Amino acid sequence: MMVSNISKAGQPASAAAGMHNRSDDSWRHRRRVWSFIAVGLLLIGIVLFSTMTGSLKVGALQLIQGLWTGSDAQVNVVRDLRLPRIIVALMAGAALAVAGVLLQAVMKNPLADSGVIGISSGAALISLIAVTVFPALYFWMPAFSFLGGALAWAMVYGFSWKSGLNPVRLILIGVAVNAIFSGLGQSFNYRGSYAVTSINQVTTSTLSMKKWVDVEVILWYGGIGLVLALLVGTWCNYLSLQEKTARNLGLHVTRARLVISVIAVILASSATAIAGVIVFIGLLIPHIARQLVGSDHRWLIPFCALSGGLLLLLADTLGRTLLAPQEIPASIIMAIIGGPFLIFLIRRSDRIHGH
Amino acid sequence: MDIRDITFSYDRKIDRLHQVNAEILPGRITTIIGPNGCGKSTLLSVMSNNASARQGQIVLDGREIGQYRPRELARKLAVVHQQNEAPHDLTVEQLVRFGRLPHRSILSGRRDEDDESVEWALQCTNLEEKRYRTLDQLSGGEQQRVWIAMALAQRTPVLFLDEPTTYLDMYYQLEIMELIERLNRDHGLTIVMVLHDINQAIRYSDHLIAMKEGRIVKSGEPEQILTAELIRSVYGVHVVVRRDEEAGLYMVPVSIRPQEQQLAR
Repeated sequence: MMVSNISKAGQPASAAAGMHNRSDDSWRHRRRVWSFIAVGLLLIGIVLFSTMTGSLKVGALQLIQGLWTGSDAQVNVVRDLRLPRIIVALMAGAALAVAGVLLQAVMKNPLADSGVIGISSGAALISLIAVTVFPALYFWMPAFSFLGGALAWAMVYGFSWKSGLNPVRLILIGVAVNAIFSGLGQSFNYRGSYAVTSINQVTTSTLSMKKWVDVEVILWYGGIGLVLALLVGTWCNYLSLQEKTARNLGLHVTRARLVISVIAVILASSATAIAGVIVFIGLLIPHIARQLVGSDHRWLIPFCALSGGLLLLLADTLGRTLLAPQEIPASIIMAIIGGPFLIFLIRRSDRIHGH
Repeated sequence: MDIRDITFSYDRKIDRLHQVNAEILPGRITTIIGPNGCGKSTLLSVMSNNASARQGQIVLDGREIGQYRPRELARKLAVVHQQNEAPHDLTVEQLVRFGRLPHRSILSGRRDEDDESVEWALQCTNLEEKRYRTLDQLSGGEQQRVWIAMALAQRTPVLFLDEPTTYLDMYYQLEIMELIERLNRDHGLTIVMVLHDINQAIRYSDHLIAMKEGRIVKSGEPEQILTAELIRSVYGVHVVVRRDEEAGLYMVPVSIRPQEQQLAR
């Protein structure tokens, strides 16, 4: 699908008509391509920087040699502790950003974010319970957190759909759902036992102490979610029309909404299961991405995946290098950036909807 | 297309349509007229399967429309709605290409047939030169033509339009009506539309359906059914109906007072 798009706008003006407008179109296209290249380069840069810096510094050459031979003790520490953390941050960021853009397509609301509307805290609650009751089922944690995320999503969707598409209303209901689940999570955590501190990281996210088993889990669930998300871009585009228009074009609107929502919940809850609750990525990234690559989801979804990974890795890297050896969790950095941004978005949507 | 005994209600309490029966003549232009809230748009949405009737059937090519899969129906019948929304940065061509959805599967790429249909739709609606414009760069009349082009790209034998000329000025109204007429005469499309402007309805329709309070009051050729009495009973407006050599049959609304008061004045 993407290839066809490139060939369309990349060809030198073949149609005789519309020459002067064509430059507009190809300008948009060039900006899209350059945005991808820029984010790609930044991503490579921050991955390298993040791998080499921290409490243990390794040079690029030393790193490559060490990874190749496996005999360098320093590099082995980096491989065992820092690399998993980097991959988890990349995958979780990508998953949360894409989950955000999918939820926004389904709810036709630019403020939908899995963290803000409670999907992440629902996912966190159920996986917290599951990992306490069945600690052996660690690999299946995303499956449990999916149940929690789906429950929270169903509540938000059910309560806010009837009130139309009012963005602020969605946020209010989402905040309430979020409060319910995070409250339950906390009471579960504070039930008076010191034994639970080991799983506390599920609710208050830090990306430290990630192991290769975490990488495996998030690569599987998040990877499947991301691949599925790339396939439903066209459906997301059709949902941006009016519901009846999409239906008259032959789209099975209810089914499309359901499938896209399930993918979004898979992504959000697998990220939550491994990286904990991180809010605002699904809000920030899609908004910026729309400015850069436009609202065509066939471009938007892959772009959100790249830049979501970039943002979370950046936040985590800053968090562990700014005040080293102390760490600021990435989720806290995201909250500090994201809060003001949410206010900005709500003010904008007020203007659009004329309240 | 047959409309058989349709009764419809939004809330299961008040019926908006009462046992409506009608036939849509293939290859003709049928226009539904009537006052606000008489159920004409409701009838159109029941006919396009956007709302399902409590009783009765809509039969298209021998099958009840509820029996069609959405894609199948979208290959038979296209609808242009009164109000539309789309992301502002979509280009005309991209939006028109949306109309190819019922002919594509997720895996198949672009086919020549798709390109041809999009070209044809752009040509019919005279939008070839604007294909790379985005929606927010177009005038109201051009935007309406884009939505018509998207429906045309579906390549259906039947086209529905819900108040296609509302919000447009006179020039754009005529432009749309002449486009619809061409689609019917040159390409054989069966057209069903809802119009507010009675004179446009008279001028461009082969068949009129006049509705009031969820019922069909009268239907037939404009020349035969359009009288001052009909308009008074449907709209409660006193009109004069005249014939002009150049303009044909037309009507002019005079007053909303009953005719007796008019005479007494």
